[in-house]
Amino acid sequence: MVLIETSYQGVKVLIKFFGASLLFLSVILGRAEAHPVAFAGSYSIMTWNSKDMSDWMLTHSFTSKYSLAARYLRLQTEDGERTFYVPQVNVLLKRWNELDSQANVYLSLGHGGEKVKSSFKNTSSVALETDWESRKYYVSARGDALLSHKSSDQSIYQTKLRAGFAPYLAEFDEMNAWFILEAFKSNKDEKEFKLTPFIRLFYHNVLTEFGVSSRGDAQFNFMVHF
Amino acid sequence: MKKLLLLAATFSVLSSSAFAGQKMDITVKGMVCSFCSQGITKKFKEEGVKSVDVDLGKHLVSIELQDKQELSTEKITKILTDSGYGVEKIETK
Repeated sequence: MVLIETSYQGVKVLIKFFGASLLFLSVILGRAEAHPVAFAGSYSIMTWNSKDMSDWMLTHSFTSKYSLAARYLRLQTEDGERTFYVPQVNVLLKRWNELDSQANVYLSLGHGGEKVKSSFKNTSSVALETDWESRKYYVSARGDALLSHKSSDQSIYQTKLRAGFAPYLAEFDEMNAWFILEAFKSNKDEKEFKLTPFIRLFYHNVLTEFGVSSRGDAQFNFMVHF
Repeated sequence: MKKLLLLAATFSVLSSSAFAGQKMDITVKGMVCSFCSQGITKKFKEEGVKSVDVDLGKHLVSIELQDKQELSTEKITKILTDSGYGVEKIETK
């Protein structure tokens, strides 16, 4: 029993050390990420980064149900590298608050441009996201569409499914750790399907995720709200 | 003399409790993630409360008000709603 307790403490210390290192690195690299809608009056910065993608969003939540965001997205697709600048509105359509769990449905709508040489092509974005989480488990699903006004062939559709669990129940002032498995599919990706296991660490208002996909690509996500 | 001391002690206790900040326990629905719950502490601190403690395991937010500070149940409910949560019950200690 003592051995188990010691091992458990050891794992927690290791995770805290790893988390602190990641947070330090994230500050050094200047990367960040944020939820679509956070608490009223808050600002969030969020970013998802891999070899094929750089997605940045700066968000201001006016209420706990609405936020406005400025989004920069660079994608490496089978058509080549594509860059989007999209202002968008995020709406919390529905939230279920229970004592031991929370579930949400978010809708994001945007209209901006895709940079092509020195001009911009009109692009609209739509995303629908739903999640459920307890202190121990987490699942989410998200569908994204970047609709090109010039040609429907240029439109991008992405689907992301996630499931995760927490190896221990952390309290409010402790480092939280999660293991998450993500499945990703895009109509503009050369290979159809990508699986990425992530370790998610968060402490107070800073969250980081680090994963390596089934193709060997590293991904780093970061989120902070204040 | 004993009666005087007892009276002084009683007066001391009564006067300190009259000026001490009120403590409340709020049972909150949907509070499962400390990252997402940061808004709760921020919002209560903006209201000038003396202290805010969050216990995720018990779904509890405990606040202590400043001396003579008042915070209605409607205001507390609004703070938690603005933070994105529901209120199960509010208990004054």
